[in-house]
Amino acid sequence: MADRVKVKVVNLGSCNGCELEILDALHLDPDLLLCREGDRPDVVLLTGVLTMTNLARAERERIPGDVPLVRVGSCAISQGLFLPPDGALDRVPSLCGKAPAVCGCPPVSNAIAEAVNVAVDKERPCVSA
Amino acid sequence: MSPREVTLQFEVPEVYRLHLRTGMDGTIREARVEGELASREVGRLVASRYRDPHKALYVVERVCGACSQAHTLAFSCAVERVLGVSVPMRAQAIRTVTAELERIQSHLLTLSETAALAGARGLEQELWRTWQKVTAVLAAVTGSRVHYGINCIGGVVHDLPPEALRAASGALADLGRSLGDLDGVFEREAGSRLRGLGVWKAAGRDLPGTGPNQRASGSPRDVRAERPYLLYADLPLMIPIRTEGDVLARTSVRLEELHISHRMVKDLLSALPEGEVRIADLGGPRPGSASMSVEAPRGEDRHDVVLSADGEVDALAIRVPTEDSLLGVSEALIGVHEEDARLVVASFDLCLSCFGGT
Repeated sequence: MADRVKVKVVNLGSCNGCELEILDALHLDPDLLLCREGDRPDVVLLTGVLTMTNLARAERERIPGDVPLVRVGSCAISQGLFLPPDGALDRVPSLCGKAPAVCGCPPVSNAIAEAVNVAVDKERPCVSA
Repeated sequence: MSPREVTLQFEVPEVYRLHLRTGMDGTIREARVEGELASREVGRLVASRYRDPHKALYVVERVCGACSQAHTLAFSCAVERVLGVSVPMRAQAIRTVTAELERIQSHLLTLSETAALAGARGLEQELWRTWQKVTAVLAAVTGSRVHYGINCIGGVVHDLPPEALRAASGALADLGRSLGDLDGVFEREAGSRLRGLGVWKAAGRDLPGTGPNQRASGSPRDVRAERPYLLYADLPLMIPIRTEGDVLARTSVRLEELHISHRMVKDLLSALPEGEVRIADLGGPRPGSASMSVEAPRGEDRHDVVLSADGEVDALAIRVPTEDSLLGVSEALIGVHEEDARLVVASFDLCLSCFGGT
């Protein structure tokens, strides 16, 4: 199982709905594995409200570079209904590049699993919930 | 020997930092749990941007993904108290069913994490499969397996038609078979590791709050029994109590509550009261304030609501059960080896989404 995809979750302040579905995705897809502390992740999942304040943490978490950063859920995609836009979304293109985003509140687990696989395999088409 | 300080950070399923002060042998002498979340301040958000109580429900539901029914229920009931209306019996039954299914869902989530950290991987997988089964029942009853969107001011959003009831009953029977396989499973698979670990005792005082953590430490308190709401006054409510206060006692209380909740849901679905599922006319706006406490899966969840003369929310304060459990975690970690710290914390089922969301 050496080629399992190591998934790291960075929670910026979510309600836990996305985390429940992420955990379910990790149970549904045997090729996905929660990344252990200190290991290099193959993909980073970003959940919760993205703000200018926590943007730096999101950028720091994807070090070393080139790790796809997939936004999961409405809060990470559009700040949801929690905060007035503060400019953080303008930084998304440089932060996330062409990595897929999974919409929904929360997204369903198989869409998350598929997005992770898309993020690490550029040949496959983008998906959303 | 000089003590040292350790900070551990965890992301899934909860985001928290555990600040530990340990002896050279790794035994914890002081412990503090700290969340690291963007504060969503749902109470302030509702009172400033989503003041219509009907719209506010959508926001209140997102205080927490694991106990959204508890939050929308407490908020709806508080608003209904201000309005002076009584919810139809059938709606109360559907609300009760959803609340008890949510308790099963939340407990299974905690038990699954506890099993994983105790090294019982097979048990963790089995518990997760059971979690998937309870979410199937929730989907049959409410239409969704996370954030159910079932409550509205004055009742529930939709009825349970016969075909949905059949689907829910079938999924519930499947869940019941899985729950039967879980009897005494922690005792068998990890009893020697969990017994006597992370003890939280009353030690001659009243433990703060309610919930499974307190009930595993000898406190009989449960909001459903102390201040019955919905149909709890008429249901055969059993409250499991342990006195050991250790990790095994906390898992045992939750395992017993799974069966009790399952039985309540089964009884309610087999004899749903007839009638409407929401009040057609809520009357005009009415100013006032009210509080409502419900027994969420983790303990007492209280919403204090103030409505203005035009019927909008002027203020909302939410008090979540994790506030009470944080004290327990800090005390239970003393004397535990730092390698077991995460397991002890998991057994308390902290919800820093609730804590950071309010």
